[in-house]
Amino acid sequence: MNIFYILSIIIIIITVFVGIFLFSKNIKLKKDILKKEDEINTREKEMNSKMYELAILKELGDRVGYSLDVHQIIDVITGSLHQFIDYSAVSYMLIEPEKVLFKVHLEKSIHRGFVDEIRDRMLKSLSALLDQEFKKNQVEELISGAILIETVKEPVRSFFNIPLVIAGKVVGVLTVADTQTGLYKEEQMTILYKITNQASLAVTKLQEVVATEQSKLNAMVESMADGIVMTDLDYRILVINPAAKKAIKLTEKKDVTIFDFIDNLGGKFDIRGRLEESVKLKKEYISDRILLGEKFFQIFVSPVRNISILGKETVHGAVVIFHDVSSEVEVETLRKDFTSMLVHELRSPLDGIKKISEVLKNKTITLDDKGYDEYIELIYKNSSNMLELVSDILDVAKIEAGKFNINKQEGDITKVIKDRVDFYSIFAKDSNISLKSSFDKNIPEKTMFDQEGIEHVLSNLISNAIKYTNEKGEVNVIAFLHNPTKNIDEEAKLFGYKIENSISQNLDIKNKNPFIIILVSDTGIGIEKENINSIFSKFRQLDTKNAVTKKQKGTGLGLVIARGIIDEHGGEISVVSKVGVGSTFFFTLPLV
Amino acid sequence: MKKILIVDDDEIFVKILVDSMPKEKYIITSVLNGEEGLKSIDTSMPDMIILDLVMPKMGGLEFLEALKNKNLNHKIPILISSQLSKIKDVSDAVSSGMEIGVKGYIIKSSQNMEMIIKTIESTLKGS
Repeated sequence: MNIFYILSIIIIIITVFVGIFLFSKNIKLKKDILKKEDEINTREKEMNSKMYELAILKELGDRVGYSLDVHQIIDVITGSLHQFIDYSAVSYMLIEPEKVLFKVHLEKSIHRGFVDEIRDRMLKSLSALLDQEFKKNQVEELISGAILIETVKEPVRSFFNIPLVIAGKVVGVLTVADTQTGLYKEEQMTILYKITNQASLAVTKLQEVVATEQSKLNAMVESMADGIVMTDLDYRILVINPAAKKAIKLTEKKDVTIFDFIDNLGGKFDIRGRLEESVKLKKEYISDRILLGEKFFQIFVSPVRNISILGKETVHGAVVIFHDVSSEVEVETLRKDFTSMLVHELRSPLDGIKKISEVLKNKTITLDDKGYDEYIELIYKNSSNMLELVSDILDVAKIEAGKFNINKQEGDITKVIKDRVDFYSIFAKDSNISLKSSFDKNIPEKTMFDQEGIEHVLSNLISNAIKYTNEKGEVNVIAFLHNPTKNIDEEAKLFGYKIENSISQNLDIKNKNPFIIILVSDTGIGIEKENINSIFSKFRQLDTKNAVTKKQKGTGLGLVIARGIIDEHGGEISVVSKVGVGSTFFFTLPLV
Repeated sequence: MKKILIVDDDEIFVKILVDSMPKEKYIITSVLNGEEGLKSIDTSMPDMIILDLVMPKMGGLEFLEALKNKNLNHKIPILISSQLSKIKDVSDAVSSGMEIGVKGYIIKSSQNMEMIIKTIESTLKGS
């Protein structure tokens, strides 16, 4: 019995001890849990503030975009600040020329005195920051948010000020204020500092970006081929590039005004009137071609518009673009010249033939047999010329359409060249020009080419050479097999090529396979540099005034056709020339 | 005998003109361009010039300009002869050449030879 009693007491004691132990353990656990909770809370707060920071920065980015408007940026900050910090009012002050902008947003209703107190405190810190006195009467006030209630006589009990700095310069202050005491601790201050700091960094960076972009844009405008002038609403020139100055021949002048344009456009273009139209009526204008100096311009005038976020359109000024259309005009003139050349070249012989038949029919002239023959000869010559011209035109049309076919057959190229040289030796003799030729023995006796085509090319080159060479001059025809391992100019010299014009400079030796090269060089008048590139193109005929004597009228189509024929052979045709020294036309015929 | 100088490179036109004009009345000289035309004037003063506009070396307009600079004692009557396609050049030549004797023009392709000869003869008479 006693043992039971003792045992039960022991059990009770143990239980109590265990209970006490467990209880105390529980308390410790609870404390731990609380501690953990606290930690989590702090971390959550930290996270929240971090997220807030990020959110604000993102919002800044999104809403501000590329705006450099400080108001807008601060509005974004103040608009979302209440999510994190308690305040009755958030406000900012910005220094502007002539005034201080004071913007207050009320979260809670307060009385007028509260606002005045914030204002005075902010003015004071602004004056201190900038070492400059700001007065109440300079302040322009804007209040938004909750209403002012005069019965709420709560004074400012918490107040916190942050200077707004952009690009290292104080531009204003940001303030939070509340009616409660001790609200703003280090934590909130840090966050606020961070945010304003980030915003100021972002703006500073943006300013840099804008400056770089501006300089890029400037560089672009500077280097543009079109002349560009931008004016404000009073037609003062804001932007002008060198091309625009060049258009009115004022390259050297520094401060070009709209009056310079008015003077130098000399009534050809009413720039003032067009600018006015563009600014006032928002009208765009495109001029006809206007000749300024030696250049043709098309002038565009259009208003410079700006569309605000609210969709309101305003005109800031106008831009004038001088677009140089000289080359287009030149092509057009060439085309016209070409057409009138064709008309002239066809009409003259046709008219001649008509006139001959007229006098023969009407018997207005009495002719003996000799006279009669003379007329028949003229008819024959003129109709042949016309026929030749018509076939040339057809050939060119075929070449242009890609339908010019050659018929390559095995033949002796050396013999073909010799025959052509022989044919033209009579003409050369008539003009007192020495026509020589020399051939490479290594040229294969049988190669593949279109005989008729190559004859055409040779005739063209040789007759041109004779035509553009003075009496006692020389025309030299050389043909040799080019060895890809050797210098082509040196090879040509071996065959008596005398003119200093290097042929390799104009020869684009693409393949390393051997080819036959045929040179027709003359000691003629040569070709001007500016004409040399267009010599193988349609519409372009060398000024016949330069032909030594007028042996035949040229249509300028011969070389176009020659090029077509050589292209079809897979060869190259080109020319090197020096004015007063002579020209060398040459073409290649690949062996394979 | 009147002396006529033809400055024209259109051989058919020149030949027909030479053959059509009565040989007993006129001495006709023909040259191919303005340069030769000027030389010809230096050797023998013609009573009339028939002048083409488009010629190699020296065209009709340049010829007129050179003639102006010669400051001849008396005006030589000049007829411009050209193709219809150059009608604007013709009117330019006529208006600018008035002071040195340009009397009128012949459009080669639109007038027949009889008309042309009549124009030439009446120009000669008028001078």
